[in-house]
Amino acid sequence: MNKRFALWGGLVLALAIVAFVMVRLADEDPAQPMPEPVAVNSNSNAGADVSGNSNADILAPRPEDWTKGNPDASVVVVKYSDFQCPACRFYASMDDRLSEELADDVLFIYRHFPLRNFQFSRLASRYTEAAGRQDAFWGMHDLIFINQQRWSRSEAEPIFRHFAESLELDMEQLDRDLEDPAIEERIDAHYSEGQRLGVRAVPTIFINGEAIRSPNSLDAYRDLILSYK
Amino acid sequence: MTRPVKRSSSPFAWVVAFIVIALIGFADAMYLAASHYIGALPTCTIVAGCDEVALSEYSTIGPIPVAVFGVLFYTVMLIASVVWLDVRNSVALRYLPFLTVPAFLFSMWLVYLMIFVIEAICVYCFVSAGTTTLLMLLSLHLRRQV
Repeated sequence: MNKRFALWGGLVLALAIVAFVMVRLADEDPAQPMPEPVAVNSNSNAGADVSGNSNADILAPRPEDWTKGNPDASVVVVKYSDFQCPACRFYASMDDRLSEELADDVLFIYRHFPLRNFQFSRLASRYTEAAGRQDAFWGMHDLIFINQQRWSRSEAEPIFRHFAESLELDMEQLDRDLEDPAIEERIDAHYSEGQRLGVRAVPTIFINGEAIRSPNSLDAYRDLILSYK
Repeated sequence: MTRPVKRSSSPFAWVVAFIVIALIGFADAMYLAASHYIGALPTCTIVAGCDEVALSEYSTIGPIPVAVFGVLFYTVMLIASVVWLDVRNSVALRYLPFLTVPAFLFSMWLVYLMIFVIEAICVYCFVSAGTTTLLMLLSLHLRRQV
């Protein structure tokens, strides 16, 4: 009888412990990291303009940011994102919807965090930045995300150029801007700042300076944003 | 008849191995199922890349995540093993391949989808494919032993 109790009790206990640990792990794993304390020497390649800034400064809206929504809104959503990441595509479409719905209440800011394990992430960031110089950042952003599955497994650049043409960009200007090291430096600065904020995964979303767990639906995302109003 | 003499002692170690592997599979499937339900969508990380598989349409069967079937499968495997440890009734082990072989084939189908259709790798799915394969091999071995 004791043996039977030990066997079945042991099984139930083992399953309960394993389940508990796995649920805890699953709960923590995708959670966005909270901002880390600023480490002075943490990133040698951080842009000079940001090296002395606090986390709050990094997350504050800046004139050069790519934004959607109301610049005076009480809710500021800063997103570190990668153009080739499928999860980022999902969030881009949610941001698009919510930036229309909540245009008066929220300011959405896009920052680059191109992961190195994606082949075309950085190129996509460069194209959006170059397009941004012709006031077409969001147009290029949308085309790149909407067509992500098309270009991410083929030759991306001809497709990006096609997007640029469809946005009626000045292609000579675009080519000059694509070669401009300042664009690369800007992307690097975003990446370094993201690292300082503790970004380890994309998308990482900060609302009013607070790292949030990525919501799993449009409704949850909307509710979360509105809770900061 | 020499077989009954060998029966009582030899399968024990194999059943313990079976339990250990099933527990690993259970943990793996539980993690995936919990990730599905707890809320946050899989993100792409610096270290592990992107969990594209979990975002794909193949991660669920209807409304139910594939991982939930995994949790059920490994739970049944563990119960069957403990039944054998408890009552030493060979029936508990003899019919295991009726579940482990279909589970193995289903796992292979998922691996095929991962590599050739979704074209993305999910480490946890490979772990599950590995444990399912081992459980099938062990169950076929146990079936011969008992």
